[in-house]
Amino acid sequence: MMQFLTWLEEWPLSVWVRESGALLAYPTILFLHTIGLAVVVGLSAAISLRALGVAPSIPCAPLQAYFRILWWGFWVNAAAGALLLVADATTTLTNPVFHIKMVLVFAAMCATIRLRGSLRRAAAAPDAQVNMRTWGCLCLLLWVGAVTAGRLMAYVGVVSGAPGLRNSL
Amino acid sequence: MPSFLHAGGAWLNGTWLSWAMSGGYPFLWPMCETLHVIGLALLFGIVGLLDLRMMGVGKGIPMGGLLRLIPWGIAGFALSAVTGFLFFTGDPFQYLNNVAFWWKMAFIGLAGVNVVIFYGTGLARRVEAMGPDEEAPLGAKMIGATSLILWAGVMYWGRMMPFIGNAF
Repeated sequence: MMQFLTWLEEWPLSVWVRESGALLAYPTILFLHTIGLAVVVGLSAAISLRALGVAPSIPCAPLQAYFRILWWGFWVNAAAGALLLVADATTTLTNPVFHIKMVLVFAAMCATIRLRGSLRRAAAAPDAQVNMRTWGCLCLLLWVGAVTAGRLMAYVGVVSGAPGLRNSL
Repeated sequence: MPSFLHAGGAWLNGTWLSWAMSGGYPFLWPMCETLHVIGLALLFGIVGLLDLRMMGVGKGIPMGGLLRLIPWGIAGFALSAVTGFLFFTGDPFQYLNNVAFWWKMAFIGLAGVNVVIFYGTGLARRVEAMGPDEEAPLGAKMIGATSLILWAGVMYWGRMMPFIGNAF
């Protein structure tokens, strides 16, 4: 297993991301990961607040348009995350916090998909009993968990990141 | 560096809060980072919903309804601002000497100016009165696009602090 992770890390792409020192490599990929996070978590949270009844005068049907943008953010993050992952395969993939993060991101995206479905049903039949509050609440909680796990990857276990970068205190 | 910044930084650096943030309580820094990210996501999500609606995404939503979310966006900004100030307190000079930090502050300031223009020119009032399917005036579209670019810029400079400047 470790051999495979080392092999991943030795890819020219991985080495470039990790060691080139180019602003376009590690720093820009991290920035894209942050922007993607803000789009995915931010839109999911804002729509969850609507589902929880914060701004009830927002109609449910047109919110579908924002989910398409949310998915763009998700794929940007999946790609940026994959690059960061191969660059630091031996440290990240052996860090239990990373696995917890992946489970939480997966669960949060499932909750987001269910939130979208419940909003669609609420738009089609405004009188129907739909559990969008449950999905909104779960989305918020799971995203807080995923963000926390993501941030803690820089502190728990072997710290990865560009060489020379002080990730922790 | 202007002497008042130097004196202010030195004073902050000597406070108990600075000691607590910079390792006195090791969990504080990661905890504040997490809250900083949650705050920025909340702010960007709600700002994004409003800006994109003005730019024509999500037609069918009356702007008046979206405005109810603004207090939550402000709460997100406040969360990030407070935790940001705590990082600054933890090690003032790594920020004062960091060019990316100053760019970030400048972009936050410009985002503020953008909001002032939005309300000051009366565009906000026109937008609030918009019907659900109505198209926003060109000025409001430009305000929305500028806001998205500026907040993305704030995140860019924040993320660049360890690389262009030399902060952790």
